[in-house]
Formats: sequence, C-alpha cells, structure tokens
Amino acid sequence: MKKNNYKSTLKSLGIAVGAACLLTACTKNFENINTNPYDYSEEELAKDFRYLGDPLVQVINNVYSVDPVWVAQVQQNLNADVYSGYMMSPTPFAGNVNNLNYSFIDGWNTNIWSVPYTNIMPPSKFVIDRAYGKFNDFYAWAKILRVLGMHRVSDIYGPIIYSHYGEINEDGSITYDTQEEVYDAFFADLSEAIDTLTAFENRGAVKAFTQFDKVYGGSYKKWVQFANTLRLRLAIRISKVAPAKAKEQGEAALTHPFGLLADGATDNTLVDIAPLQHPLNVYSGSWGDIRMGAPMESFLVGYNDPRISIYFDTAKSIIGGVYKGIRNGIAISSKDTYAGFSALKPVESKVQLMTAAEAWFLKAEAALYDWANAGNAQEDYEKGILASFTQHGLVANYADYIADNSSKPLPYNDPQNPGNNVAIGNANLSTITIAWNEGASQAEKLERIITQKWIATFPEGCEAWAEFRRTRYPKLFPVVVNNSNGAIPTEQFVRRISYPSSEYSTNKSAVEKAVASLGGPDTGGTPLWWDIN
Amino acid sequence: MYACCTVGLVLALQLAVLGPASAAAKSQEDISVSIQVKNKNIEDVFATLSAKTGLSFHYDKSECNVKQKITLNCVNEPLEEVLYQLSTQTGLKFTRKNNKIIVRLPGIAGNNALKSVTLDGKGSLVINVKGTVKDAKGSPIPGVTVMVKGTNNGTQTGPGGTYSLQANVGEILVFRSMGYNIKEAIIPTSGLVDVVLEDNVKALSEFVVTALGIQKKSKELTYATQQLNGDELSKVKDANVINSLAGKAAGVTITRSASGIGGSARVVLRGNKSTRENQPLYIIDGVPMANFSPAQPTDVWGQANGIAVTGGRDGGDGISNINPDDIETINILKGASAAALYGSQAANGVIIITTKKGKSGRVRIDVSSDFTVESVMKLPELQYKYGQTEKPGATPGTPESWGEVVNAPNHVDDFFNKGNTWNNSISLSGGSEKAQTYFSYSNTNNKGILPSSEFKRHTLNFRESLRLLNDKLTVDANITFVNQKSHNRLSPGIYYNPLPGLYLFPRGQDFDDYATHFEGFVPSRNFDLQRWWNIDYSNPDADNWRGRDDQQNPYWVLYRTASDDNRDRAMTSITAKYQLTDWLNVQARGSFDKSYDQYELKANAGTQIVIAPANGRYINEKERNTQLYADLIFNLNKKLSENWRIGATVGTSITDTKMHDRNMVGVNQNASPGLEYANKFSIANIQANALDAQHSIQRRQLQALFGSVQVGLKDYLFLDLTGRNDWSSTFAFTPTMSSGFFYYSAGITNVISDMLSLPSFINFAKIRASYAQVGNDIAPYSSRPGQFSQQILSGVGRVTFNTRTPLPGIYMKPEKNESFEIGFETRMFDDKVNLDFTYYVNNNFNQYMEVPAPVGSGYTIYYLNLGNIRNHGVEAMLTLTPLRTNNFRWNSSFNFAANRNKIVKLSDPDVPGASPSNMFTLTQFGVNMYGSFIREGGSWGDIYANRELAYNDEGQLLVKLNSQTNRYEPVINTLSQEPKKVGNPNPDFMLGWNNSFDYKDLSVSFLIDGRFGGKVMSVTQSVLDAYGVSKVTANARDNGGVPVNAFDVENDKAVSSLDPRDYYFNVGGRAGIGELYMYDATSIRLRELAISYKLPLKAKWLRDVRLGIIGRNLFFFKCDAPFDPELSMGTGNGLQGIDVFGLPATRSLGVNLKVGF
Repeated sequence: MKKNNYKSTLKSLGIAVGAACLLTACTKNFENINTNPYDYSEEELAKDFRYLGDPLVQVINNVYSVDPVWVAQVQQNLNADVYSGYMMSPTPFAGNVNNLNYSFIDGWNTNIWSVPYTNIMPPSKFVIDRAYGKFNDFYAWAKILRVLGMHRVSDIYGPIIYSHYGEINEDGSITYDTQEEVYDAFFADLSEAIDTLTAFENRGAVKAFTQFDKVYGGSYKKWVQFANTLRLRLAIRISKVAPAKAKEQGEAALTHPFGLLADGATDNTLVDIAPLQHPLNVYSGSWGDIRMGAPMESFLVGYNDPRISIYFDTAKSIIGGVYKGIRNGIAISSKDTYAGFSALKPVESKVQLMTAAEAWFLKAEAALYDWANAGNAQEDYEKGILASFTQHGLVANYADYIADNSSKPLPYNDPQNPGNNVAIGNANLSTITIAWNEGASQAEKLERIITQKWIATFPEGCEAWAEFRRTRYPKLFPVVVNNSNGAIPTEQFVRRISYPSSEYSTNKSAVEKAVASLGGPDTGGTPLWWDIN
Repeated sequence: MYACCTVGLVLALQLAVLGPASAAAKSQEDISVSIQVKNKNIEDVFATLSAKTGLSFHYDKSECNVKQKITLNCVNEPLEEVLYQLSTQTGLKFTRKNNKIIVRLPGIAGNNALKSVTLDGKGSLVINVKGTVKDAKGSPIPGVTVMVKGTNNGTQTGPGGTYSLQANVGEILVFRSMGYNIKEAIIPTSGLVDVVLEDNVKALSEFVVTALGIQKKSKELTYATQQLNGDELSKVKDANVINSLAGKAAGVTITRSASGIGGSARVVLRGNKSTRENQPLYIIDGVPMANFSPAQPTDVWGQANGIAVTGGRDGGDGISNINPDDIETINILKGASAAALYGSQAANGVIIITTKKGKSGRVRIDVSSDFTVESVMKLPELQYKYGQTEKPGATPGTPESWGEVVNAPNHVDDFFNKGNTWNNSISLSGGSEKAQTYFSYSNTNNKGILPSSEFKRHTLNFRESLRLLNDKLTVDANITFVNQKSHNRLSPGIYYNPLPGLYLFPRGQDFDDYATHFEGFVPSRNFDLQRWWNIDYSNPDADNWRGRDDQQNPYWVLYRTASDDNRDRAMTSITAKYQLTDWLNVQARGSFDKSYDQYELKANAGTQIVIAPANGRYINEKERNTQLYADLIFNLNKKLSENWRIGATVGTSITDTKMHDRNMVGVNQNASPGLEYANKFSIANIQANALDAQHSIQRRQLQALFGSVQVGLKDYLFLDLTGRNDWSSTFAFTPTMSSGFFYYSAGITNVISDMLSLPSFINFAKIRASYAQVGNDIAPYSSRPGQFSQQILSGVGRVTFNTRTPLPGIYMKPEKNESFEIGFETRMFDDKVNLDFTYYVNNNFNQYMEVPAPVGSGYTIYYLNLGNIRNHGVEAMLTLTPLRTNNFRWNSSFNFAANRNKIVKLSDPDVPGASPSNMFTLTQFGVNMYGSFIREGGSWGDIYANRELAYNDEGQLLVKLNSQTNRYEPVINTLSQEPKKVGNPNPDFMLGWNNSFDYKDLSVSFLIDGRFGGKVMSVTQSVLDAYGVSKVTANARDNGGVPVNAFDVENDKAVSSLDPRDYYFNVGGRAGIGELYMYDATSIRLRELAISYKLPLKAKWLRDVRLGIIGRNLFFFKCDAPFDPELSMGTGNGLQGIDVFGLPATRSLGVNLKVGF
C-alpha cells in the first residue's frame, strides 16, 4: 500500500515535471498571441499596391485633417482660418483667453505640429523609401504631397524637421532645417517629382494610383500642373527675401510644358472626402463655433461680391437678413452674443487645398516682377477672377464685377459692441477697388491681386494667412483684445505660432538651434524668414 | 505548439482526477469514520484520522504526550464517537471547528476575570445543571468545554450541543470552544443554562487562506493579511459586494463610480503603484477571477472606448457579479510578500474569496431578503432666486441665470425619486458523506433615484463536493451563472447625462412644462422631437433653437436616449486533490470564466445636434472576456524531527486570457442623417456614410513555475521562502520571452509569546518581517505594435500608419515591484485587546512609460520602462472588547492606514522626451479644466490645472476692464506649457471604527469611517458657477459683489469688488480655474448601521429567524466638498477625485429578514 503510494507519487511528480518542461517550451506560440490580429503588416497590404496608396491617402486627408473633426478645428480653424480674416468664433473658449486673442493654447497648437508629424511625414517617408526605384510614380506623388503638407507647417512655425527627418543625432536630437533650407528642399523635391511624372505622362504609362487619388483620378499630367503651381506658390512666397532664387524657381514652373492649373471648373485641388462631411459644416453648423469674419463682410458686401451668398448665410435674429461678420480677437462674454452672426454656407465634401484662380493670381504677381512666361498682369488678374467665378458658377456676374472701379470695402459695425467698430478712414480699412488699373503703383497692383486672391482662396485660411503676412494684404482689422502680454504687438498681427512644448521636452537642443535661426524669441511675434515686412 | 502545453496539463489533470483515493477539507458536517489501530502513537492516529476525514488536528506538542498509545476499533462510526473514545483513553478534549480539531488538555481553566459572585451563605446546593449551547445562528455546538469556574468539575457538550453536570446554584459556568468567545453564566435555581456563543473573529482568522489556496495558521504568517467573514459583508449589503469592504479593512481604499447602484468600484491596496494597473487580483476558491470593466469614461465629456461624443459609460466590473451571500470569507493579501506566489498578476495585492460549500447531513435552507430605500444625500447647492440673464423671445434667451430676482421654484429636489433595492437570496445545502451540494440563487432589483433607471441581477450558483476512492480523492466543482441588466445607468460627464440640463435650467422658465412635455409634435417631420427651453425643431429660425451640447431636457435624456448595459457570465471551476501519502498531496485545478456584455445607446431623432444626427444615433457594443486557467500543485507537509517541520509547494500554472474582445458598430455623430429611418435602432438601419466600427482584442497567456518552502522551528519561528518564474506572451519579440522573469519572497516570523515567558496579560505576541520582489508584465502587443491599424469612421475604412513603438534599441521589461514589510501582533487581557501593526515600503521600478518621441524620429510615442513609484505607510488594527457581561457584549474595532506615495523617478537622462518634466497622462485636459498626470517628484493621481488667476507681487488679484461691459474682470493666465499641480485626491490617512453590541437576541452594529486629507475637484460646481445657478453666486449677488483685493495695472487703480457675473463667469465653466474648485476630501460618515433581533420562535423545522433594520451611508459627520469625495467619475486610472455631474451620493435605509430552515 505504502509502496504504491510512493510509486504514484513519483509518477505524478514525473508528470508535473514533464508538464512544466512542456510549458517552458511553449513560448513559441507567444509571438502569435502577442500580435494584434486586427492590425496590418506591410505584407498584408502588398496586394493591389495598398501599402503604397493607403499611406498617401492618409497624407492627403491630413493636410487639412478631416477626422476627427475637433482636430481640424484646432489644427487650422481656430488659428489660421481666423488669422486670415476669413472667420471668427463666437465661442469664448477657455474663458475667452485663447489663440483668437493671442494667448496660445498649447493643447490646441500641439495638433498643428503633431498632425503632420503623425499623418504626413511617417506615411510619406514609408512610401518614398519603399517605392524608390521600383514604383517611381508613387515615389514622385509622395514627394509632391509631402511638400504640400509640410510647406504649410513651415509657413506656420518657420524652421521644421524635414530633410533630416528620421536621422537621430548622437544626443538624440533631430536637426531642423532653417526655413530657407527647407524651402530649398521643397524646390528640390518638387523638381525631381515634376521630372519623374512628366516622363511617366510622356511615355503614356498606365496610371497606377487612380484608385487612391481622390483629387485628379490618377492623372500624371494634372499632378504635374499642380506641382508647377505649388512650385510657383513657394517661389512667390520667397520673392521678397530671396528674389533671385524665387525667379529661378518661379520661371521653372512657368515654363514647364504642362503649365499650371488653369481651368476654374476642372483644375481646382479638391480632395473628395465623401462620405465624410466637410469639418467646416460641423463646426459652423451643429457646433455653432465659427462665423464669418468682419473683414469678409467688409470686402464682400462692399464689393457686392456674388460669392458672398456661396460662402455665407445671412445673420439670424438679432440683425437678421444681412451679412454680419465678427471682428477678430474681441471681448466675448457669452456665446449667444455673436452666435447669430453669419454662419458659413454648408460646403460639399471636398477639401479645397488650391484653386486654379490662385494659379492665375500667382502668375499675375510674377508678371509684376517680370518673370519669364508670366504673361500680362491684368490678363492674369482677370483670369484669376474668372476662374474663381467659374468655380462657383457665377460666370454671368464676371463682366460687371471686373469692371467695377468704385466699390470699396465697407466700414465695420458691431451691433453688439460699438467698441469693435472700424470706421471710414481707419488705416486698417482698405480702399482698394476691383477693376484693374494699369497706371496704379506696384503696391496698389499687388494689393489688388492679393485681395482678390484672398477672396478666391476662401476657405483655405492657411494659405491666406501666409500671404497676408508676406504682403500685409488684404488689409485686416487688428485684434481688440490682445492677451499675448506684449509678445505680439497688436498692429503687427500674429506672425507665427510657437513650437509645442513637446519639442522642448523631446528635441531640446535642436529646437533651440531652430529658434536661434528664427532671429527672435519663440513667440507669435517673431516674423518668419520670408516675412520681411 | 499550442496543443502541446494544454495536452501536458490536461493529461496531468486527468491522471490526478482518475488516480486512486484521497482526502479533502471538510466543513462542519457529520462524518463517519472507520479506523482500526492497536497501540499506536496518538500522533499517528491523528495523522490517519486526518487523512481519512480531511480534518486537521491542532495541538500543542509541549502540552500533549504524542507518544501516548491508543487502540481503536471503529467501523463507520460517527466522528464524535471516535473522538469520545480517544478522549476516554487520553483524557484529551477535542473541539471541532469546521475542518479543524482542536486538541486540549483537560482542566486548563482560563483566568477569566468576572466579578466574583458571592453565594448567599446557605451552603452547598448541588443540582443537576443542563442546557444547550448554540452559535449565533442557532446551530448547536458540540464539543464545548463546560467548566464550573474555579473547580475541576466540567464536561463537554454532545452532538446536539447539550450538556449536563452537577454543580451548585450560584456557581459560574464557563463555556469555551475554539473559535468562539468565552462565555460565563451563573447557575440559576432552575438549573437550566442555555447559552449562545459568539464567534470570535480573531480566532476565526486563526487559519487563513493564503496564496494558491494554501491554508496557514495566521500565527505562522510572515506578512499582514486581513480576513473578513461573509456575515460582516452581507450584514448591510451593497449591490457591488466589494463596496462592503470599505472602512473594515486597513489599507484598502475603495472609490465608487458616480454612476449609481451596480456601478464599478476601484479597489487599491496600499496605494497606487503603477502607470498601468493598480487594482488587486481576485481569487475565488483558488482560481483567478477576471475583473475586467468593459468601459470606463476617459475624459470630462465622459467618452469611453474611443467612441467620440458619447456619454460616459461605466461598464461595471467583474467582482460585482458575486452574490454576497455565497461568500464564506474574504482574505486580503495587501502586500507583495503575501501575493508573491501569484506572480505578475498580483503585484497590486490579492483579494481571496472563499465561497460556501455544501454540508452533509440535514438539508439546510437559508433565505435572506433585504429591502432598502435610497434617497439623495448630497446635492449641489443651487439658487432659484435670480432668473435667466436674457429672457426668451425671438431667441431662447441666454443659458445663464444672471438676471433679475424671479424666486423660481426648486425644480431639482423633486426630480430625484426615492430609489429602492430588493436583495433576495436563497441557499440550500446538504448531502451525504460522499457528496455535498450547495445551491444558491439570488437576485438584486433596484430602481434608482434617477427616474427610469433600473438594475437587475440574477446569480445562480451550484457547487458539488465529492469524496471518492476511499476518500483519497476529493473533487470540488462549481458553476455560477450571472445575468445582469442595467437600464439608464448614469453616464457621468457632460454628454448624454440628464443632470446638466436639470441643474442648469434657466431660472424663471417653466420646468414643469418641459418635464411633462419633453417632446412635441413637429409638423415638418410628422413626429415628436425634443422640447427644451432652447431646443425647438418647429421654430423656423432653427439655428437659434438647436440647443447646446452641454445640456438637454433631462426627461428626454432619460426616456429618449436610453442606454442598456447587459451582462451574461458563466464561471466554472473544478478542483481535484489526491492524497498521495499522509505528507504529500497533488492538486489540479481548472477554471473557465466567460462573460458577454452588450451595450446599446438609442438616441432618438431630436437629440441635440452636436451629439446625434438628425435621424437619431445608435451604438451597439459587444464585448467578450474569456479566461482559462489551470494549475497543478504538489503540497508537502512533513515533520522532520521534534523541533523541525517543513512544508513545501511546487506547481505550475497557465492562464490564457482574451480580454476586451470587443466590436462596436455605431452611428457617427457628425453623419447626416445617420440612421436611414428615424428612431429605428438596428445595425441594418445605419446609413453607409454614418457607420463607425471598431474591432479589438487583447490576448495574453501567462505560464508559470513556482514553489515555496516553509520551515518551522518549535512552532514559534517560521521561515517562508517563495520563488516563481513567469513567462508572459506580452514579452514576445523580446529576450524576456524565453527566459521569463523570476522573483521571490522571503519572510520570517517569531511568536514571542511561545518562545519567551511574557507577562501574563499578554496572551499572544509575534513579530514578522518579509521582503518580496514581484514582476509585472506589460500591455499586450506593446513589445511590437502592428504596423498599420484600421477602423471605420463615417463609413470610411482606411488603414493608418502606426507611429507608436518601443524606444528603438531597448526591449520592454517587466515592472519590478520590491516590497518590505515589518509587523507586530499582540493579543492581551484575555484577548480583549488585539493589536496588529504593519509598516511597509514598496518601490515599483521599471514603470511602463510612454514618452513623446521627437517627432522627427518618425514616431510620436516611445514605450519604455523606467523610474520608480514609492509607497510606504502604516496599518494598524485594534480590536477591543470593552464590555462583556452575561447578556451584554460590546465589540469595537479600529483600523487605521496611512500611505505616502511619491513618484521618485520617472525620467531617464539618456532618453530624449523622458526628462523630469515629462508626464504620464492619466487624463488629458483637452479643452477642459481637469488634467491628471504622473510626474517625477509628485504623487500618483495629482490633479493639475491649466489656468490660474494672475496676482501681482503684493498678492493682489489682477483685473482688467472689459471694453464691452466696462466692468472689471480677473486676469487669467493660461498654463499650457506648465500645468499647475492643485491637489491629490488620495487620503492622508483613513480610519474605520466598527462597533457591535449584543444584548440577548438583539444586536446593534455600526461603522463610522473617515478619509482624512486629500483634495478633489468639482467641475460640476465650476459649471454651475459660470451659469449663475449655484448658491454661492446668489449669495454674492445678495451681498452686492464678490469682495476682492484687486488691482488694475493699466489704470493703476485698486479694485475692491467684482460683479458676481464677471467673476464667476470667468473663473467657472468647464474650462474654469482649477485651483478654485479644489475641495478638502476629508469625509467622515456613518457608513453602516444594522439592528437585528432574533425572533424567539420555536419550531422544529425553523432554525432561526432574524429581523433587522439596516442603513448604509446614512450621513456625513463631516464633508466639505460639494459632492461625496468617495465617488469618482470613473474607476479606471484616470478621472480620480473628480466630479462631473455624477449621480449624487445616496443614503439607504431598509429592513432585512433572514430565515434558516
């Protein structure tokens, strides 16, 4: 009996040890268990080029971030869209001490930085690395989209991480490009991409990215035209600070055989985001967080501009029936005070990143500088207006509009607070008219071009704000309440956004060098490299 | 590969089950024994009996002559008879308590101090004294020693608890039995002395269940544990049984979700230790129980599970599924030393629940029924005097109430109902010698204080214990089913919550109208949509009448945006134990736990436009949680020599979990119109462009090899060593995968009172010390996250590039939790004073940390392990019996705990981003005022603010003139770069005071407990202030302004008063000034009150009838915060110590009835 017990003890012990050994040998299955079955690997996405196409869809959908909606709201709407004079919020966010009156909220501005570095740089680098030498059309497309996404970031901050992206220094930092360097890199990227896609188009290659391209349906030619226009946009941007380089790059764009975007009906860069709603509809519509800006009212009403009814609704209740904008950076005690002012007209599910009209206005400005192949300034200016009217189905109104040489922007009245009024004679109230005047000064011509470009570019506040800083046109109304504690002089307007605190914690030495290259403190008051007003 | 592990274990399990014969622990049932021995040592006889019955014999070797020879010839005789024979041969006394037999020398009289009774001098009056001894539940207790005080005259009670002896009238009888308090009674002339012995809580915990279900004598433990018996927990029940621990155990902090009855609870033992998981492991009858919460709110809005713009959802938790009446005992292993054998799951301590088993013999039926009524205990202080700022007209007017005096009626108090809760349970226990059955059913039925909210739960439990193969094999199987339904469990937060609308309703408008007509016919749509003071779908000027996302008609929220949270769960386990020799057994266990949760939100068309599209919003979320567990353990217990004893355990286990296997299908809030047909809530009715879908699962497998050794010297010095190696699948793709991670514990205890001769008032004294190191694994997939992830938002399904990764160049490591504790325990003055004191220090290294990657690296977040979070503190328990007479008894116990937490280090100079200023985010600010971060130098749970008032050097508040109003407003600094720490919700110390009074059949008990120190934030108050509906704003208006010592820099002017609106509107709101809304979290409350009376019914079939009055959370002795600081918006790591329109605290009062048949 006892002997038996010992035997079975030994037997059981043996089994236990056996089981234990089996257990320890069984960690092989761990890799399978510890792989998320619902995530994707590169191999799983290789079919149908999805590993090259899907990341680029992510890129283009995040130039202006379309989802979640609140991200776009803080990425662009509550800064650039307002700083451009296009819009203003009736909502006193954070007790009405926020970006809109020059008190930067880091929690908002972080998104201006993190959205591109999460959704533009990583996926475009992934495609550039994978496609190089194998699928050069994807490679070139990725480069164009990367410039499109990142020049906006540079135009907000100045120096950014671009050509040294992914290169980690000994001290763990990643070097910034100065804004001049990054513009050089943009031009190099665009030039290479334009050459590549031009060759694809010329040899009639089968379009490879049609299923991913929600803008031009995979047309190589259209993307070359777009890249030419983008190249001209960047060239014009640096025309004051680096005239020679600007001319060289601008002329390269102007002389390319495929030309620029031109037709207001077909060439606009509109990203089809259906079935998503345009975020503007959400924050103007259901959220009631954005309204017409006072300058828009002043110009569009003053010019009897027919685009006003395309862009905005009339105001509700308090001052019903008329178009009424809100002045930037004012005291707001309650959302109700201004919520009834003009809301934005709902737009279709297309995010406008560039227009054919802009191409013409860029060309018009190039013509002012006598760049080769820029054509005649007046002709370009009027074609720009035509392209915009075409875009909005208003061709019938075009002839009267360009002939109007008397309408001027109106003074601004705030029915809720006369302290916000901008009276006739105020230096910030423009007196520029519509019709081209060949005899006008170079400055007046520029103001006319930029003012019309500003109207045509709506609602793309990022580009409009950059051009305002470069040219100081159109004339906008300064903020009434300035919470920057002196960092941003009111009459100078906000000139950039400061780096997010995360850069100081993760990339300190590099961001400090970048700030040094800025030539001023890391505040909203320090002008960018190309902003030499 | 997978199969090989399971086959190995299953094989082992089967062999263990099918092998020949064994013994098992048994409860207090009638056992029959066959034993034939001739001239054997009594010690051997005990061992044989122990093997046959599963009972263990406990005796003091110094007292007992273990070599005494015995001869027995019993065939299937009752155990009592066998013991009686033993008693006759040895003179020893045997007392049975559950599965323990206490062996004592006869005639050791206690020096029980009772006032001496003087006889009346009429000399000796010897009579026949008899009676019955019963326990508190009315069951007779056999084997009680009955002695005439001061003499050697005595006897023992028989099987029916009866006794008889000869003694003098007026003499004192002393009744003593292990596990009960000593009782004395004067012999009356009638000679009839029936007594009821009360459980001695201290003695009950003499034997405690420790890690892996190993029972140990509490005196041998090298660490602190605390045991509570089921009666204490079920006396005043809570729908979530774990809430009943509050105030009763030192070092246990329980925070309840502000979602109402049946909501989840956060349990933290000895402080928060980790950036990841801080709640303890639950073990039920030896096997781990999954305690996952399907959802917790993650921000001030209340959003959960990454579904944008929804109401907060408290998905409940696993522990609340247990029926309190099924619990025999709860054991709390607070420190890592106690829990080390459980390995990485137990780094935060373990709560061991032992459930009831069937008992052989007569069938016992226990019925218990509680009915309680809940009422609101603490509401925010509101004002009804001042009306809406701008009255409605063409527009709805303003949402704020800063207008003229209107003296509106109080519409808030009547909104809340009296809630009521039924708790019914019935249990049945019985069986034969070979097979015992326990069956129970319970239901909880609650109607909440929130109109329409309901909670229902059914629990069914069936347990079978078998003894097979000549009693060598015991098999114990258990299955539990739970069905739980909760309708409209409150969503704390701003969205989908009736309370913001209720509290903020502009004063002066007609609330009753909106209450009775919360919806109205809209001709353009031909059905009813929401009506609220600022929501009117029939108004052509629609823009002004679409309302605000921060409030809706509360009745609409309740009746037209209903939420349902249902759970079905099955837990089953089987244990087989085989006695290989009298010193070695093998045990195999397996368990399977699966729960299925479904959550639905059905928001009708007409719900405010920001949070639901025009045709309504539907969310359907399903989650499964599955856990498989198996282990195989060898237990050895051998006496090596007279002085040395050794115990050892070797085992292996596997736990396979599929957590949060979740799919969500819903309507995107921004889609239009969302649903194809309005108000039809089905997945097929979701429009293609509105479809949101998510799919996720967390898989983890843990394998372990473990062992422990305990060495005992002379029963007063014990050394305990444990070691365990874990292999966790979460370390796949790292070197830790194949090596696993090893940790260990070592402890020593010395029972001083058994070693030295101490003053006689000290009955017991021991000291203990232990050290442990426990690892903890990491989150699934974090060692190598997927390259791309996918989800569908608004009908678009795209992959996105993953930019989160372990820091390049490192491998993820386990957390390393090092703890040390030292303790002292003593019982004095006849056990009337018991004190247990512990000091512990716990350092948790290698915290899982997320640091922002330099974005230029290609990543946005790096994972790594670094830093150290330290907790240290003291726990003390003091149990007193201040008064004890024949009929009256007062027990009083205190428990005290103080914990200090410090984030010693959470940085690494070599890692960019991991600087000391870097923070681990528990709750992000977003656009609101509350943020909580773990940051070096701070403490876990610190609350931060992102805005502050500006002051000049003289301490004057800075103000500026508002150009619109031409009045002064405070100047506010935003702290976006450097948020400001404004408090920490964790208490400085906690004190519980439990009292019970017994007078004959009446017993009264109450529990007062307090949390002292700590600060909590009320976003509710901040919002109420900004809207001008809080009482303070009315007071300020009554007083003509907010007095300030302020200064206007621009105009160089001092300002002494601010307009209340200008002040509160600027400092309040959901993005208010955090500092001003921090409140002392000190709260002292009468947590429990129970009065029960045992009805003097006498019927053969009726064992016991007890009627009681019970109360819970009756009132605060002190509470300065505007809400119950013990409630929190969520029970996850974030949102601790914050109230955002949570359900008000309730008091409950009711009756209960317990009947035993």
